[in-house]
Amino acid sequence: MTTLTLNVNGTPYTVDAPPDMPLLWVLRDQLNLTGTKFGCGVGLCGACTVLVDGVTHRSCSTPVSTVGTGAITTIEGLSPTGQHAVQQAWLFESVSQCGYCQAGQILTTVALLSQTPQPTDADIDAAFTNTLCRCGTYQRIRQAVHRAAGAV
Amino acid sequence: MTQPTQLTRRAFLKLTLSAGGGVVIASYLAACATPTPAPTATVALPSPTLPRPSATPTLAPTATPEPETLLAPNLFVQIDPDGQVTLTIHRSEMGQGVRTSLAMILADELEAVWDQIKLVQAPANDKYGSQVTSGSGTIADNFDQLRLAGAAARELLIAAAAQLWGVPVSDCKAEQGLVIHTPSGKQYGYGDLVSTAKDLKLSGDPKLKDPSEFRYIGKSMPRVDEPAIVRGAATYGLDVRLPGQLFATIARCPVAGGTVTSYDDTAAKAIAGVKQVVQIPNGVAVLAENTWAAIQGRAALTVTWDEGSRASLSTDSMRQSLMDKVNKAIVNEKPDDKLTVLEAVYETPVLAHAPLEPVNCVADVRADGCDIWISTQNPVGVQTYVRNAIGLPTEVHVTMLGGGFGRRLEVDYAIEAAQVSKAAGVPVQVVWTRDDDIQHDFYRQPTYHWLRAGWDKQTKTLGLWRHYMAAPGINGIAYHGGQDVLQEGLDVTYNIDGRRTQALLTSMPLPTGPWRAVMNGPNAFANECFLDEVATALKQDPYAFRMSLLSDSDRLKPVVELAATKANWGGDLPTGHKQGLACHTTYGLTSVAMVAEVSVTKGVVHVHKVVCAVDCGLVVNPDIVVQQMEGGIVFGLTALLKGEITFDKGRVQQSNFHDYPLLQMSEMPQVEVYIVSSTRSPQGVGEMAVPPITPAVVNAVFAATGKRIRRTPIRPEDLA
Repeated sequence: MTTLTLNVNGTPYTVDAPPDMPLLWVLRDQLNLTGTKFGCGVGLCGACTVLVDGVTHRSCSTPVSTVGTGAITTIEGLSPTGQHAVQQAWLFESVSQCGYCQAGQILTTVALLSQTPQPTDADIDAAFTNTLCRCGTYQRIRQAVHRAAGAV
Repeated sequence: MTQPTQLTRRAFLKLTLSAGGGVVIASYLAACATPTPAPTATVALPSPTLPRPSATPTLAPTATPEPETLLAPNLFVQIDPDGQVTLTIHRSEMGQGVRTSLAMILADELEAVWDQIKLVQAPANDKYGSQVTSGSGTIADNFDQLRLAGAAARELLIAAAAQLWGVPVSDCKAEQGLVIHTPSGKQYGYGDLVSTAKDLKLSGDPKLKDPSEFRYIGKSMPRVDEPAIVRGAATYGLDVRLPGQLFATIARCPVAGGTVTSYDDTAAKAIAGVKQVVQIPNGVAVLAENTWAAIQGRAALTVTWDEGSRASLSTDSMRQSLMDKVNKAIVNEKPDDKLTVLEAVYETPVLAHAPLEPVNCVADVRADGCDIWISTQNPVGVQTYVRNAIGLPTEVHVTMLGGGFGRRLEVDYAIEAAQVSKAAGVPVQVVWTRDDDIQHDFYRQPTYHWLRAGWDKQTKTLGLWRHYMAAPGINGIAYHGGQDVLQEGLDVTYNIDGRRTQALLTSMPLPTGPWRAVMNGPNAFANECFLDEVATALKQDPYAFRMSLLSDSDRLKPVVELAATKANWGGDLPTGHKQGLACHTTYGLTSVAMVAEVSVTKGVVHVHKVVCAVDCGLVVNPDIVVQQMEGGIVFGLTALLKGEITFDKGRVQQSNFHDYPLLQMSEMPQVEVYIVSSTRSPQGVGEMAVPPITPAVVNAVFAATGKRIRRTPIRPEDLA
């Protein structure tokens, strides 16, 4: 067990965890931030996506000891009232069905737009590789990405 | 409700009159408020105290006033003296929008203000009527009774106002949370009427609105759960946290039904965070402070299994059973030699449900009773089976579901969790990993189809149609089904003389359960692809052929016409693109037709576009219908293009999304949905897009390559 300080959504948290414990479970089970979801445990679905210094990380495959002082953003940290442009685009396009994957989809979008403000469809395809939606909301996710990019 | 001026392309839905020609275009609104770009939030979050478990999921009711001060004329509507309207939703939300659509039905008749409604998710209780969320039946089952429930409350409020004013009821109307005395304009808020209304009784059934008066029904009201979803605040089963809860994983025999002979938990208990190891009938549970420790602990267990009777189960043995069954049954099929005859065999594999939230359950078993928190499509089933398993009164609280698709009708994972909690003496969340979820499913059964068609050698008139289909039934815990399940969608509604079908129930030791659209998927695949083969043999256009075989009274006919027209069937397409058509009516209730536009490059099928037409009766929420068509298309495309579940020596050979892949963003076709305008009573859409998509694409693949696909998923060698 190691004692670590994590910066999550702008707040420092002190946790005790084995160094190899995935960040996902520290967030969900120790910090009770359950917005980040478990879908596969092997980095193939994206439901566990968080941002670390603005870059997407699959938290199920990110040992907590590797995060260091990186600024972690979870879905809860985007906006407490859902006012982030990407969240607003999600609501306007009525993207979600069951909603379980959407935290990962939203954070993937936030990261994409921070690097590529006007993504093409090909950019979107690439960014969303292995970011799965079993309900099949991909068409609306794409529309919401374009809307959030202001390209619509 | 105010209407924004801007319409998104997606929010613009086209309705077509099913008879009398003409196109009526109506616009539907995506959201009440036009969103404005907001700056990234820089709110500093307050320092939390850790740990901070939430005692109840967000769906549980918050404190309410004393019952005697409420107006609650039925189980679904409650109005507080302060005017707060609370609606109870008794079916499960798994993305198909029932929390929104059922609320719309209640709120419309009640004339409640949409933005001010609170929702409560009903716990398991017989008093609500069926709480089983399946068969795409929620709206069809509840439309009338929920209208009556909302209307009853409305009429009591009107009666109360009339009494207080001393005026005739007929001079009063309810509108948006107010009862208004029309001649004078004076008004009461609903809250002010509660103390009078609660003592009144209606003399008969309340009068329902004329459909022309609908305020919410028929509009794309925004999904009530989306604001919580985009903030990460929606509570799914896996998010439930009870005080003192442990997290558990269960080691189960790799062969379904196998049992524990012995186990060694020494290494497991040495893992930091592991608290207990307990045995239950299905296996050995490791309980820990967090999910990771429970997963690690289970990996450190050594268990010896008695694999039981299913250890011989294999994909080949299942296929052989089905093939033998069909071949034996068709031995006496002798075609008339006046006919030209065509035959084909179609097959589908075992499939897993794979909802993105793996199944899981929280159980809190105490000496006096049990509480369950669960993502379930079957709360009363869970309550019954858990109560029987542990011998204690059981309450079941229903959370949001991270996908259902039929998997969450079963009760296995609830029984297990209750047994673990009872054995361990603590509240526990049993977590299934993705491997568990894929390897211990109640699968969609494999199928084997033989079809034969025959037509007169001279006149080319079809005079023979046979469809024999073999599959096991549904043999789960809460769910069983036989011949009747296999017969779903087996027969076609085309006017073909000499039509005969036979469903051949074939038992095999495979655990099976209802999977989205159940046997309509495989049966439609076989029917609609074989019909295309017949059309090709007769040198007929697949669209014209279908139209010639469908009765004018068949609801499917205008739906096929609509899809083909909107897809510009037979028109110009980009080089290499071809179209395929398929149609199906599911449960005799909802008819769907699709045209898929496909190209095939180097053995890879690209689905560019799907045009979909649907007649589901009166539409409560058009955008939800569109969502379910989009989602069903993706679900069906995954089954057509992606993985299958195979068995060897009783064991499932797949374990995660690397060998049981799902469709990805880059593979998503452009989908257009056209809804037939109808006043027929509302029918379902949740499953109905799944049956036609596979044959539409397979028929397009034939058009593009000349190759017939007769088994799914499509393999590269099928296109070589």
